[in-house]
Amino acid sequence: MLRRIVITLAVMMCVSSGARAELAVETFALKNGMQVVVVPNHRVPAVSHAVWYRVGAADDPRGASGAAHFLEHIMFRGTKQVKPGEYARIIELHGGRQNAFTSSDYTAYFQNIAKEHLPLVMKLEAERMHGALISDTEFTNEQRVIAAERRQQVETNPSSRLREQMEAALFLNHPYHNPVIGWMPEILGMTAPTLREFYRTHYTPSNAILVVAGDVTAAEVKKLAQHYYGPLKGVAAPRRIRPQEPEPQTAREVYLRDPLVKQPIWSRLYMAPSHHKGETGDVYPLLVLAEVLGAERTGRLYRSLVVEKGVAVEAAAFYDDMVLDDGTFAIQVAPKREEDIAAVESTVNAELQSLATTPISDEELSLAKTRLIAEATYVREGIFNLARVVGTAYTVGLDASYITGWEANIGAVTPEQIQKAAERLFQERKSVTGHLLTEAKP
Amino acid sequence: MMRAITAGLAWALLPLAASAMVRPVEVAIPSGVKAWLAEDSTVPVIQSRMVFTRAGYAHEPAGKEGVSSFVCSMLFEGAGEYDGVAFYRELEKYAIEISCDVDEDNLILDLKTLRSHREQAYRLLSLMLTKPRLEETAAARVRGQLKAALKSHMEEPEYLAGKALKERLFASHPYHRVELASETVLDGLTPADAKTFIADHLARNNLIVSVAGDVRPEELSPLLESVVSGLPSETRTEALPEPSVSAGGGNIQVTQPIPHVFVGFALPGIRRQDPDYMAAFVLNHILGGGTFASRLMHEVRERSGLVYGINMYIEPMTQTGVWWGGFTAGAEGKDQAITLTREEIRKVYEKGVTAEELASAKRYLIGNFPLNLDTNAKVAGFLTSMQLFNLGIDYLEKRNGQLEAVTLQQVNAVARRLLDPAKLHVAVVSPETEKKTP
Repeated sequence: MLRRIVITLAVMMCVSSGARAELAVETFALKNGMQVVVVPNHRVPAVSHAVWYRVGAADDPRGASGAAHFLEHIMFRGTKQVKPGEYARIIELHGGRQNAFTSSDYTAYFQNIAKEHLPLVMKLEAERMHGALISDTEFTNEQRVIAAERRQQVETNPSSRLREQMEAALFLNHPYHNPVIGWMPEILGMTAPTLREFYRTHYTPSNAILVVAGDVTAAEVKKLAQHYYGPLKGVAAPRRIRPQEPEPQTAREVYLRDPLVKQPIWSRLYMAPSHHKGETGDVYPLLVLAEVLGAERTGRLYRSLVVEKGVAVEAAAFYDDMVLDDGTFAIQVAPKREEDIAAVESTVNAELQSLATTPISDEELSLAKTRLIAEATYVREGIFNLARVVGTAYTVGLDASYITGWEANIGAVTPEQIQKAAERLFQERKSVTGHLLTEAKP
Repeated sequence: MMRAITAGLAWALLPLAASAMVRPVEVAIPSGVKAWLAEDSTVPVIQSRMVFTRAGYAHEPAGKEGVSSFVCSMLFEGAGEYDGVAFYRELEKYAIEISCDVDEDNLILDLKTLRSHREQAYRLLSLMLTKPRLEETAAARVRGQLKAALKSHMEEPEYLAGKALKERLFASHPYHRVELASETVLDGLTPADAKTFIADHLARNNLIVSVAGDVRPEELSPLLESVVSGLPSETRTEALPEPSVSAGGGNIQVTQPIPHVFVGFALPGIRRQDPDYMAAFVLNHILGGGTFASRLMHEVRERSGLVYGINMYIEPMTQTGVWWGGFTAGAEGKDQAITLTREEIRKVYEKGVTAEELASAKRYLIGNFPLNLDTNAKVAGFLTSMQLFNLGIDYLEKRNGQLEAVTLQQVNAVARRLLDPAKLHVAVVSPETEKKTP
């Protein structure tokens, strides 16, 4: 799956992750090292069953960008026991929905289905963990599908292309440099043996997390998981060795001009801390800061750019903290006219400067917190939202405390912490500025 | 081999009764409106959907195209004692989420609130509907936003194909319109236009209310009364005539400088109230229902690798229905993908589907149903459709039975009635103009 989509999801999670402390998330491990997380919700007699692997596009072999995503596709193309195409049919026959998605840090396969079919999906997913065939014929077909996917999602969409270029410019050495779907020449140059090797290395119980949400108890899941996943043996999970990003030195600027563009966009991307990299204590202040800055109609960017100055029509900010390595902080503005871009840029810079020098008011702080904390209640609706947040948390090296501690962690943020975090984050040398422009220049 | 697995689990194939989970009741509001409520206290959240029928963009006065979207935005730009920013800040203070949207037929307001903030939530909803400020400074901003949205749409091949197909299908009937027509018309919209549209289109007699979540009927009634009592009792908007949908078929070329090709296609569909609707719904699932098991996904993606995705769906509108479909393809594979799509439609038209396909589709559509009802927003949306199309408050109990009762003969008859490939309109969005599509 595409980074653009993954990003949307990550944004949704940034603002809506978490749940109340009383939420009963139970976790345990099987003897083979597979971790299990159960999130009970008894509203409808259905479950969301997902296996998340701690492997994503940032673990792709060198020269084979897109491998994790390619493998995700090929996993539907047959195993020792299930013929190509059969898998979807079986799930569908049982009234289930299934799919998979890949990000830079994880690959996940899920089935949403009536609860009595939990044994079926466990059996299928357990078999797929070690029995995928990755045959040459199926490989070739899937290669065409993935090329089509890239065309549809990236190449016909100038703002996706710009985003891809901005990320590539931001990360010089870390593989977040590469798009999740891969670069086209490497999609076309992928080989089946590369994927087979990748599969053998990463798809093993100790590298997997099982997340079951919905109308079940931990005891039920434990019994079934032991039965279906318990007997699987596998190689030890590989250590995730990621190339490290050096300290950024220069501000970068990228331009994409395309006759397809009708509405110009100005955007800025910063390399930001995460739960594991940089100033980890800045994570919660930055989550609040993103609200203060980017809230839909009350955020500082909207008020100054759209309401006061009238140089833009929309403005937003997103902070992605749910990553294994460095996070990103993004600002996106739709200027009123292309000529307004200079004014947009100077206004944004002034707003960021002011956040770094003056503490925000208590009123602003409390509005932002109220919304973030309420999101924790909203995300508990339905059986799939929370399961997805839980799965992401575990695959990026967090655990249930990310969710149960959400309210306390957001609640504890102070204006001074936000100011400090802003001062550290909004530095020109950590940034890439992107311009999506309407006309092709010679 | 797989047979062993499926057979082993056949014992578990018990269809779930959605009615066991969602039992809507009718809540009478003193001012005369009736709301449907499905109570659920799993999380302390309330979701409401208010739909003003005959207030969508096909109902806009000529020369004022886009005014329903304009109204949707203007409702948030200050009401009662609050100016625009203050109104949004009130929403934020209580973490209340309100959104407004339009389709051809309706103007739709969604509200989500924590149970503990329900009084504030309905008060703000009432203010925006009955005392919107509609000031010129805000109008200028909103016009700018709508023009930006229109420009973004014009970058999307899907949007361009849809627009071209609607114009072909509906000719001069207002259903040919898209949400935002032209920058020039948007530039001419004024607060007075918004005021007139609101006065003419938002009333009690064209209002449908559906609520799901953590609220008792006796609590809901006064909350809603506070909103609807301020609305006029009668709308001035009238039902649209039934359109004659073009069944001529044919190709439309839309030129757009994209590196690849988007193909949209459409057939005259079927109304939701048509006795054949259920059969058509099942048929759509088999042919192109968006799952990996559909015939089109199988042929055009899995077997040929020409596309990433391909699907079809029936859009039920108040006065008609359209059967839509689409995919993105490379320039070199586009013709083959169109041919394969047309061939699959022709096969279904001529030979029908098999009993096995029908049985699988029913099992999926029945087994999957509870997954469509696991959030308050999904439940409120479903209750809205039930009200819009007069399906009855007990529809959730009848729905699976109606699906189960669909026969192979009915499905193949509806294929014969609707899927004539000669009626297929195909819009190709691509950089070149001269090339003819098969």
